[in-house]
Amino acid sequence: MSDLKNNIMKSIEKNEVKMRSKNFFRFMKALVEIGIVAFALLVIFLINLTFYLPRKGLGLGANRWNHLFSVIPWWIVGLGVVGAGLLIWIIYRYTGAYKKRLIWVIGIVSLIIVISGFLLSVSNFNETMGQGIGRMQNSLQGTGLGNGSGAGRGNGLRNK
Amino acid sequence: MIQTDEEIAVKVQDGNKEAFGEVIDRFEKPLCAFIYRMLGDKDNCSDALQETFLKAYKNINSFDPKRKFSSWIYRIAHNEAITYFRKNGKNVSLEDVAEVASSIDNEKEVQSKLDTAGQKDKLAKALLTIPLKYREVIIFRFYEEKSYEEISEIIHLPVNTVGTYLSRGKAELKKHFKNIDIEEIL
Repeated sequence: MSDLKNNIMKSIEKNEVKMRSKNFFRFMKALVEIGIVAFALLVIFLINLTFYLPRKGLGLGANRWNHLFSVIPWWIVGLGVVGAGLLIWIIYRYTGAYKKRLIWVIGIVSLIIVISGFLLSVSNFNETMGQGIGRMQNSLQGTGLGNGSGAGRGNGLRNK
Repeated sequence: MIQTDEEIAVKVQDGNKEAFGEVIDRFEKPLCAFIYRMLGDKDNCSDALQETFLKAYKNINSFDPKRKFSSWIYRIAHNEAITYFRKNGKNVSLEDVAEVASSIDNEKEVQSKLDTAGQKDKLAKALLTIPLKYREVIIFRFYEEKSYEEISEIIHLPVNTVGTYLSRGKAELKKHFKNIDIEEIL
């Protein structure tokens, strides 16, 4: 028996090295999958806001492009891009996506995020969510828990 | 009846500790040769090899028996070699390489095509001078005789990229072998 084998088998027999259970790996796999889905939803939501918010505040004057540039919520765009980068990294690192070229993975994931974010922004999701937040704030005011700042008028995310 | 690597891995997963001894018997030499060629350093090699087997035992339940066990354990060895290379990669001693080349006792095709021990040493030294990403695909393809798909699974790169790295690695090696046709050897 080689020295290496001897040392390793001794460590195993003495329980100095313990085998991780199958459940541990199942849990880790589920955690990664949940993480990917949650991260994807968050990034899609942020991209949705970058489409939705400028549209709500967009004017129609000659200076339209300047105006568009000024109303884009750049911090949300930044967060969305960083989030998308992290999402791509997680997908590439922890799934079988390495079999495809990185540029393809970046392109496909980005396209899915942008299209989903756009579709979400043209749906009534933001209005519904804004109304929901408004109703929640109104009910908090009713119970004396709200701060009465006027944000809770059912406007929520609407900029109008 | 000879058991496959995957069958032995399943035995270990089922709690048969002795079966892991069989895993070591089967993979000690090839993994040692692989890590040697990657690092060109004896001391780090045995540490990396021991760490590879300990990690393999610890994480054996993450192995899916429908896949190839050798690719799975080579992936661990690859990660260990990369870790040791990042720590000590700049200190590779080319004097040790001749010893490395001659001490690896295997009859792979690439070894038999080289006429003299001097040529084997030269190839081993040349390998250590080319970038790690090219070196490892050359080692896997021509010394470990792995398929493109297996290499892709081990180093987590697309099959096309494996092919590209092989061509670039060979081109790098050609610079060291003016009088020998490297295409014929590899």
